[in-house]
Amino acid sequence: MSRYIVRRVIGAIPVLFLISFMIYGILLIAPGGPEARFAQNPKITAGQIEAFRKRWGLDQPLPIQYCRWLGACNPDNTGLAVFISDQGLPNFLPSFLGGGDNGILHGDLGFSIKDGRPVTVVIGERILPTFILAGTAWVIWLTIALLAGMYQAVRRYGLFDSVMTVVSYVGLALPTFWLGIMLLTLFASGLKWFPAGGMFSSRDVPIFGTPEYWAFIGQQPVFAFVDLVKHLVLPVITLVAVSIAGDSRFVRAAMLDSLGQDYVRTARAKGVPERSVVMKHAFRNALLPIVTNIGLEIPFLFTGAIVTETIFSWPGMGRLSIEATNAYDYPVLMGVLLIAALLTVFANLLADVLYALVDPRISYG
Amino acid sequence: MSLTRRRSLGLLATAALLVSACGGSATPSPSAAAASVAPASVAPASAAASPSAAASPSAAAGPSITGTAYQAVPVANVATKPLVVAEWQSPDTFNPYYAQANVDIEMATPALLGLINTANDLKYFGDMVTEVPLVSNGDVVTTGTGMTVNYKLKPGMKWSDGSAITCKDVEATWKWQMDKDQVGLAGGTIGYENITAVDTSTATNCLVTFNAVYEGYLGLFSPLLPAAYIATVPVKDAPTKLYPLTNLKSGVYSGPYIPTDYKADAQLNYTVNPNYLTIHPEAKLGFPGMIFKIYGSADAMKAGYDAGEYDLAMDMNMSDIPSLQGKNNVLAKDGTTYEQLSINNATLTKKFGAADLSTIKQAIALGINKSDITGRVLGGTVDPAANNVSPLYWYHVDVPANAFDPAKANSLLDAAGWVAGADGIRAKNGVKLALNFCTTTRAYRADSLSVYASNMKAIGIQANISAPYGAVTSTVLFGGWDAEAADTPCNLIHGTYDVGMFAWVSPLDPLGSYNVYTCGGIPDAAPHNGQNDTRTCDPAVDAIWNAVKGNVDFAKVGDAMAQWQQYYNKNVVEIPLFLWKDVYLVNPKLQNVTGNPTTSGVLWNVQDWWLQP
Repeated sequence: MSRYIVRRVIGAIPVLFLISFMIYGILLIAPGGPEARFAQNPKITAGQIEAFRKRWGLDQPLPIQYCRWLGACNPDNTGLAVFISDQGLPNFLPSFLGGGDNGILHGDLGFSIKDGRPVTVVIGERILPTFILAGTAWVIWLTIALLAGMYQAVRRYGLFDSVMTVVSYVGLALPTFWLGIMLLTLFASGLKWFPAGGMFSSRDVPIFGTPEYWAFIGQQPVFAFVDLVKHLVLPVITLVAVSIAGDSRFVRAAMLDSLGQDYVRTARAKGVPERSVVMKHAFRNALLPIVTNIGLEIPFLFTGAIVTETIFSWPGMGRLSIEATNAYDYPVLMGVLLIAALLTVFANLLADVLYALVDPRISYG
Repeated sequence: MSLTRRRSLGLLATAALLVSACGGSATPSPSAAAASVAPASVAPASAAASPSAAASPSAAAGPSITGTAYQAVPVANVATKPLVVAEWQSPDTFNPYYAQANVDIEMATPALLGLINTANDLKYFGDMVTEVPLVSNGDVVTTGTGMTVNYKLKPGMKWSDGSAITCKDVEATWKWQMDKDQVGLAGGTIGYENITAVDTSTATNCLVTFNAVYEGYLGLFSPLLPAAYIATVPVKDAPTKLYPLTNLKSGVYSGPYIPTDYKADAQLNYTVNPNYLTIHPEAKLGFPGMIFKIYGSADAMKAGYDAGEYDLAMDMNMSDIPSLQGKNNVLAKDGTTYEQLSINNATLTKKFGAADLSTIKQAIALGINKSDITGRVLGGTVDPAANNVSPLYWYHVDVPANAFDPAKANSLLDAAGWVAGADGIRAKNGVKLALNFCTTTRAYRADSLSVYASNMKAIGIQANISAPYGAVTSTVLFGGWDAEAADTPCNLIHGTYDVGMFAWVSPLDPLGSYNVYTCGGIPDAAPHNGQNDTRTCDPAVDAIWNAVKGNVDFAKVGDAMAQWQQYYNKNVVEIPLFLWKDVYLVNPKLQNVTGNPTTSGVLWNVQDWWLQP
């Protein structure tokens, strides 16, 4: 198993390299750019715009820009010397071996063109909020989807199955932005049961993630927890409502397939209790496709939900993504997309590993 | 009774406006440019309460640009919790000199003061100076082709770190902007590049020498930066390391509330500046701090008002008014952004000939029913405009408007030989009178297109409002010279439109429009950064604007602007449709919220705000 994992990890490196190259190329050849903000400002001269482009390396050919972002090129050098670090050795080497210190190879994602902060800081402060929101929603919808999907399969064409089918399709058809705004209008603006946005009460709770916030949690844990939950309710409902359908239908289909197999019929013929038939014989065999599906959802926990986070003012990765896109903030976009790609690759690996755990017939030895 | 005054940030205004003009969206608009101009604005002595205001002798001479009537209701209660104001866009920077969006200015406004600021009635007042420097009070002296301005700092002022505010800060602010490593100044270096010296021999009499007469001097040094602090950061690193969003506590400030913590897309916290009273001893702050709460959308922000999450919401305009029905205390104030129909002289001349250009423009102006736009499309939330200059401006004059008169428009076209065909569309010498209308996809603009088509058809003009014309993305309409191909339809800077509908900011400092209407501002020539998208080029117009540019005698500036406004309407340089509204949601208990149509914004007097118990 460990050899298999190592092999997959090594195999992922060129995949990620290729993905990063493609993303970078697509981003930079798209029309517009971060300097577009100056286009209609008569006080910004062409010289200043050029200086701006130079400052951010946008004046360089695309391959050089990518090379710098990657860390194989030294941004302070030109010509063939771009590949040489300030220490005189190939720039791609780790800095402690004489290489450079810029670029993704050296753990440097650069700076946000939009607000000048390090990309690691920009992304870092978004991960926890997104994980809290997406993780909560994911656990809830997955739990409901598993239970509902199984029950629908067992009681196929029954009342519950019919109702859930309708509910699922309605949920699937609901535009997230519409549902979110409706919930805001009804429960925040109208009934005032829940806050309209953000993840903490501005007047009563310190800014989330600051030392003051953690100290506040230590002093008033119940208040802080309740406050967070109140802010979570509406966005979580939105995510669950629109996401539950896909998984529950998937579980239902996998279970139906499994329940129709010969070994289930045999188990029933042998007089195995129905509960065991469902849980031990059918469900366990239905898990393979379900695990695959769940694995592919893992990146969502970190990349967030763009629309939901925007509507509910949740300061997460989804909102960061859309704002970075609007601002042509290439470094931040590259950081976000690379993390998404990384997570997707490794979520697939995780799903493959889990196969072996849920199905003894599978071995990577 | 605490008087108010606040930063001018005017300068920065620059880009800021842009966004505002564009309307809530984050997309920059041409308005921006114009906005930038705003710097020139800034102002004079404020009202009675303001020590500098009433005392200013200038008020009596020439146009009334100082002497605000603003009077704050004295603070009668100090809240125990911070003031919360709401926005729905995130800042890119806290340094107003790099500001490219309104929100950047808004957030810096409580923390950084300019030498001169503009009150809500658009009168200039001294924020950090004892009087507004003018020719009439002897603080401005023209010397041949140049001039000197004496900015008299208030004595005893201190930065938030306790250091003294002196002329060395004025000098440092100037040099910092002119540094060879400086990149990305939203307001450019206009005005500062004319400065040749700042006399720092005294702490408070800052004699600034210019090598040219610069009418926009009132907008300079907005804000003033602390010399000692800016010296700690290499200029080349200033965009990211001066007032860094990651560590705002490291900055040095002058305003009533200074930033402490910032979390992107969530919140910006401020605390009270312990040294603010050295600048405004009469002030009494009504809050122990301040919070900028950042929502993800305007809809969420509006819902937050009902939930009582904040005291004031900003960054809304007339388009938001219908969705605010039923909410109490909606404050809608006239803004300085105007919606217009921009008429492209170059394409009309090319298609129909120079001889008929004026006639066709007149016909368009007479054929457009502005009331259809303001009444039917915008539901009466705004009124038709006769002029692009805000009636609030000191140089505004009433000029005859081109009233809706399709019969007269038809007569003009008939007389010029444009004959209607079987389809009702006029033609002359085989050329059909068809115009390409362009605007953005913003709802009210897209809705207006059918109105224009109908209005134009009534006078025999075909309005092309379908792709590739009509409603296009902001990126296309406002795209820069290099960003859009030269033949991209509906791009302003390339002039690939006949009639364009969009918003612009008419700046308080008229100089800000210089590049918009003079021949030199036509963007066809490199470096393509002119703003004269209509391709207006008339020596008479240049003469008027040069008179504005070369004067610090505001009476003469006013005369020139009066001439300009006459010319503007008579020659249909543009068709102003309506002035935007600046809309706010205000906690009914919050006192002294007046709004301010300049780049100073609604927070211009935040130090006077307080909550009734």
